[in-house]
Amino acid sequence: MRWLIGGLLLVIGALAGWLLPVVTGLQLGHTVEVGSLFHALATLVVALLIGYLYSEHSSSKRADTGLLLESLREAKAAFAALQQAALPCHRTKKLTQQEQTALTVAERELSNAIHSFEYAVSCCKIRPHLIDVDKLKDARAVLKDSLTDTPFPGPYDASARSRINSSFKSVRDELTGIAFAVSRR
Amino acid sequence: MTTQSLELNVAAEFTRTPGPRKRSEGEYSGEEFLSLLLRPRFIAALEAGVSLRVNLDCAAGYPTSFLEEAFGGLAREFGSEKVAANIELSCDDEPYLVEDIKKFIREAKTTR
Repeated sequence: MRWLIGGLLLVIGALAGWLLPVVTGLQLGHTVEVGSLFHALATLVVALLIGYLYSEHSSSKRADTGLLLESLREAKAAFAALQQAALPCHRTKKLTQQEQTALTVAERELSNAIHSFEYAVSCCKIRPHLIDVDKLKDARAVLKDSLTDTPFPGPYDASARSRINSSFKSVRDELTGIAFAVSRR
Repeated sequence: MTTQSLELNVAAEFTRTPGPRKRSEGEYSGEEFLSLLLRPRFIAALEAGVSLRVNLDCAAGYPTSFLEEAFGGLAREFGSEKVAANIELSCDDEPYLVEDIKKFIREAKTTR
């Protein structure tokens, strides 16, 4: 599309240059210097090359951003599912066998989604300081420990429940921060 | 470095749904896994002069307490260096688990 617009502008410019003397009755000299023609051509080639390279870089970056955001959406969905599975931890009773399994399965889904996101980041040409996956992984590890280390399988006391809440918050904050970093890069 | 190994498949030989830390807390605990399978198989591997290869695939997920009690417990008994040198871990389902377990082995305290 960009090339089409460029070509159209070129044609309009040529037509305007040809029609202007006819319409206005201006007398223009038509001497052509070979050196100036070469300069103009060289400038045109450089401009086209820069436009082409920028267009390539820009579309590649857009594709990477789309893929990273898709991968991040999966991590956010897994995070939401884990929040649901962790609701029974806030009761003052021990988790049932079914709840224990649901919790460990949901935790594994989140861990795998974060692992996949890390892989996706490694596939893109991103400067490491822009997206801090290590902080997200650390927050994930703390969340896993808060849910499935002692006192798993419960009952979780007030301090354990507080630790679960703050761990969830840390992971959510990291996911949000990364989403902004990916969108703005 | 040993070239052969003994195998231990958690899902096939113990359970697909690993449980809590202690036997008193529920079924398929880390304590039970350590005493029934991990410790005897580790000793057998040491006696045979080979490493123990633990396969963690095909389980529904591993609670931290289960892993710490089993592998950290083994390290508390035999020493972190000895366990680290004689155990191989594999988990294609959750590749990051291998690093988590190595950390439990490395940081195993004398009491927990």
